[in-house]
Amino acid sequence: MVHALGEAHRLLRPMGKLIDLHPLPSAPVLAVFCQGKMVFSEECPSQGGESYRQADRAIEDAIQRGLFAQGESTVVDFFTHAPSAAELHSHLTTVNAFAEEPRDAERERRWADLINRADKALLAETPGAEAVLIERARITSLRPLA
Amino acid sequence: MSVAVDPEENESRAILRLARMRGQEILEVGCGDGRLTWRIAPEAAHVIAIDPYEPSIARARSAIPEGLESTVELHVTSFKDFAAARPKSAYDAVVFSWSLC
Repeated sequence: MVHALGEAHRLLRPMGKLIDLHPLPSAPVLAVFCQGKMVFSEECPSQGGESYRQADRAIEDAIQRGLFAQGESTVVDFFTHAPSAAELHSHLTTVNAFAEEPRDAERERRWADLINRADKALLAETPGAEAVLIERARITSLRPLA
Repeated sequence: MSVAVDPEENESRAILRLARMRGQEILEVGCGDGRLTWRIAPEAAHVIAIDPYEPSIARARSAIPEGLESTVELHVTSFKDFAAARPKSAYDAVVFSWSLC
């Protein structure tokens, strides 16, 4: 990561900007909404908190080494909407397929339980209900220093 | 209803508040299926979007919005390999799209 920021510094023009987006270490939330009202919400059995903390540390390190000056930073809620929790999980599996994380049977079991509970809540509210993944991400801008 | 990712555009609006993209040369690292690329490209002069995962770039290539074909360049490559082959000071903005972690 530190190497990546060094390379980004080299590629940037002097008045350029580096923008980093990554999730906060807190677990995302799987929620069910019906007509704007949240009727179910639970934290997801995610992993990745440590890698997000490492990204924060890499940025701090790049600033301390004088590569970048800290610019503005903001936190946004990032929503993924799906007709059901099962379809939401299938989408996540597809877009995260690159991650090559080791299989974790306990985590998969917890996901399956969560999907069941969420879809039960969703079916009880149909029509008009949807499953929503809520992730909180930090967006940081950095200015390259000479 | 299919899956909709950030239809509120919270992410792209926040990015566009933090960095000017209009007329700029942009490098997006970890573009995945192009979800964020399509939102920053209309403002930019040129976007190079890279991702090491070939299936993601294949999905992006099949989904380039009309009118962005000449603005966006997609490459299957790691940032390390890409950067090694590029000259210094080539971009106005480098965006790490959920890829630094």
